[in-house]
Amino acid sequence: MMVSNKIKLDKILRKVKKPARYIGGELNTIKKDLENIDVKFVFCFPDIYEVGMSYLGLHILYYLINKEKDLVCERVFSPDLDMEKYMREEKLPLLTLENKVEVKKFDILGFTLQHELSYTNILNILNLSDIPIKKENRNREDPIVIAGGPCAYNPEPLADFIDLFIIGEGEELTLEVLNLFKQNKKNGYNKEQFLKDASKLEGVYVPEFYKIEYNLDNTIYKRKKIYKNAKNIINKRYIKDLNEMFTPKNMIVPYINIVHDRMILEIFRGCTKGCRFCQAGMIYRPVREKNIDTVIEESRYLVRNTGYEELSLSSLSSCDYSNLENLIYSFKAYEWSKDISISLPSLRLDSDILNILENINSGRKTGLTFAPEAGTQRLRDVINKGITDKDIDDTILRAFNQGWSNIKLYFILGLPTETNRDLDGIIDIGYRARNKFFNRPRELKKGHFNVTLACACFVPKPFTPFQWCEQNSIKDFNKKINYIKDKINDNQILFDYHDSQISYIEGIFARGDRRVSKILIKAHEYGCKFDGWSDYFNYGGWKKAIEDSKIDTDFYVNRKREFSEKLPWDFINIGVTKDYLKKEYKKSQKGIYTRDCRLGCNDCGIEHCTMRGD
Amino acid sequence: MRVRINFTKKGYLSYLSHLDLIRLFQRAFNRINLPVKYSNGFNPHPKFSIGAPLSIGITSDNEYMDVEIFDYIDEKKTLEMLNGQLPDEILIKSIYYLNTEESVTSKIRYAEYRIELVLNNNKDKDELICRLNDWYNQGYIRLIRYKLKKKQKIKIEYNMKEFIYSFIIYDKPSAINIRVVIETGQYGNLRPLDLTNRIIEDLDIKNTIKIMNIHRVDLYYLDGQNLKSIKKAR
Repeated sequence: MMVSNKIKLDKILRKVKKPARYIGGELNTIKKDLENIDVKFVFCFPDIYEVGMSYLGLHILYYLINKEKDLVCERVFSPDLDMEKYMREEKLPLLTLENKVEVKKFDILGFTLQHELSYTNILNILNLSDIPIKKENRNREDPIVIAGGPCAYNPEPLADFIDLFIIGEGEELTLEVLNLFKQNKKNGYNKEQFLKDASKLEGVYVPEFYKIEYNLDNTIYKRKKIYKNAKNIINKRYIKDLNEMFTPKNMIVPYINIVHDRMILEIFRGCTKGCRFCQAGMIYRPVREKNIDTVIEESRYLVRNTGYEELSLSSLSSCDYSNLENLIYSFKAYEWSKDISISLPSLRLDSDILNILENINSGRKTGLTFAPEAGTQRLRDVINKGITDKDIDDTILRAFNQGWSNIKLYFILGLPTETNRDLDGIIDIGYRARNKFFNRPRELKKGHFNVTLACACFVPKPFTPFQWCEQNSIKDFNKKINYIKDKINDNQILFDYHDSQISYIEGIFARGDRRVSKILIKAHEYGCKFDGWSDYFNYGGWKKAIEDSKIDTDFYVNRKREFSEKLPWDFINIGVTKDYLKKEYKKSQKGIYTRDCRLGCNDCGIEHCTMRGD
Repeated sequence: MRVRINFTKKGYLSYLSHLDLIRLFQRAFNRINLPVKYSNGFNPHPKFSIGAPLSIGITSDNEYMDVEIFDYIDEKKTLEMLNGQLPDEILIKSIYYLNTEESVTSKIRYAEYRIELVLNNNKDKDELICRLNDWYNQGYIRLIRYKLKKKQKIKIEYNMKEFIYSFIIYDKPSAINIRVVIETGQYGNLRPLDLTNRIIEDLDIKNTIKIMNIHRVDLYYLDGQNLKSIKKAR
């Protein structure tokens, strides 16, 4: 069996693009003898290798699990289209990278849910692994399927496919789940018993223990427990002290070019800015920082073990790390760090940081991106993005004067209360940047200028103050996109925008309930996959899937919810209270700004918050 | 100072592209703190180059890379350290200082390949060997290449045989091995895949072949009229 799989794989590898994605054996990977392993876990990032390998969580879980003698973690990703075609032709099932064993033969298959547009890929991976898509059709031999990540905060659309969700940070909980499984296996494997035991762990959600009843108007009437000992509320899990938390000394170093070819090191989790559209800012509270010593020691190991030349200091808002300047200068004080350049994923529109980066990166200019998000002060106040036009202009000018000539600015279209004036504001910022570049003495103008206005379509997310808002219709998004397009008459001001149809599909699953799984299954049957990639997105397939399901998807996407409505994700407790979200929503309607909670507590509901000092 | 590194590329690692291989070495050099010289300018890169890069899917017993270093190294120790950092399929066979000024890229003139053909049906072997011999014994095998001249694509015709130094067929128990030495490098180049594609097309044997493995045995330079392994060029 296994031998013929390897022969089929060899045959296919000669025919596909970038075959090095499927060979495994990269630096720092771990290949164990599967005969002596108690629990075989396979981690899946449901996108292609280049995307999945750039995800820090994969590296963390990989080493976390593999350091245990009797556990193993192997990897699998979505095969690219050509690989999938040959696999189906040759009847080659999906194999893990390390030992090249069928995914189906593993005990537990875990997916990370990073964005809703990967859901069809998840079904496709189950299908390619010969695992029945719906869990009700699986048997004893099939792996248990678990999932975690930010989209797990609304797990309902995937309830038919996933046995167990991990809500919150997975560093401790994943090991607990695997060890529980090990115990269960030793006592003679019983899936039902395992799920019951697992549901006692804090942060575990087993959807089959609940049933949902609906009102006539299709909103949720009630969640009923089928298993009497199931929890009423699922508390998210989070790591209290990042300095005590497991952090790997290694990263897997791919052979090929991936999205992020660098060391990635987290410096803190959570965010105190409270931008009202941002789910991450709410679900990852409270803010917890790693201290400088921890970060430096961890980087030292990574530099030694990987050979990468760039280090990214990762977090939701790296410039807010309380001692960033100190951290960077301390880092640079060592011999082993002299050839390493530091990058920060997103920069605050604050000019100090540019100075620091300039000094440490010895001339190597990484790309510069900022996120004003909205074009006018009024709208920025609505979304609680506390930066002024002056901040934007000054920082951009500073960047130009230090030699950068390409800048990317992120905006969101379709935010609540948006009018054409706000769209004009976006264009205005672009033109002001252009003018700032050119209205300078000749000697300062270096490089080819361009500014990119990159606009996403606003998809309201669960657990944000905007979770009750309606999403703009596809028509309205397109009107706004064309409005901006028409008004830009300068070919050094580039306009990038998201596909409004893709955003509509994202909207169905972001705030959908269990019933939308029907659409997902149909979409998969019609060949939808890689939906987040506009050249693969198959709107025709999705339209057909929606028609077949007879579900009114506008109900999920374009409808404004009432405060009184039971939302599909209400049963999860993220620490921040629903009342706080309602308060923030009301403030947004009046354009009232809520300050950074490092400056003073806003009572969001989180207990034991380091910002407050308890 | 320059050193030359002789290494293999085997197994699944044959699927690494040339750039992947460069990346692999660059990071390995970083990890062992090899004193590689970097270029000047806005985007400095380490100064090393691999001679006559292999196409994806082809394995090799002998690849050669020149590295410019700014400090002395212990060849033996560096070899051990580097092998400790690389996957088994990329084995450093030797590292030695160069006295010659000539780069590996300009030295290489020929490459020897072993093309292994495993057939669907072993009975077809004898006949195919005859046909291969006949094919090679033609005086002229047309090779078309395209060149860009003043933004126009023009066709240039060559005789493929002029690029083939030798072509010997070996009858193995369950395969046919063709040992072929072909021109490689900046003075004239025939890609092994161009050769094999041509054979498959001309003899119409796409469905006869079960597996084709191409393996590079060694790279050569010209010493007068004789071919000598690059190993000897120091």
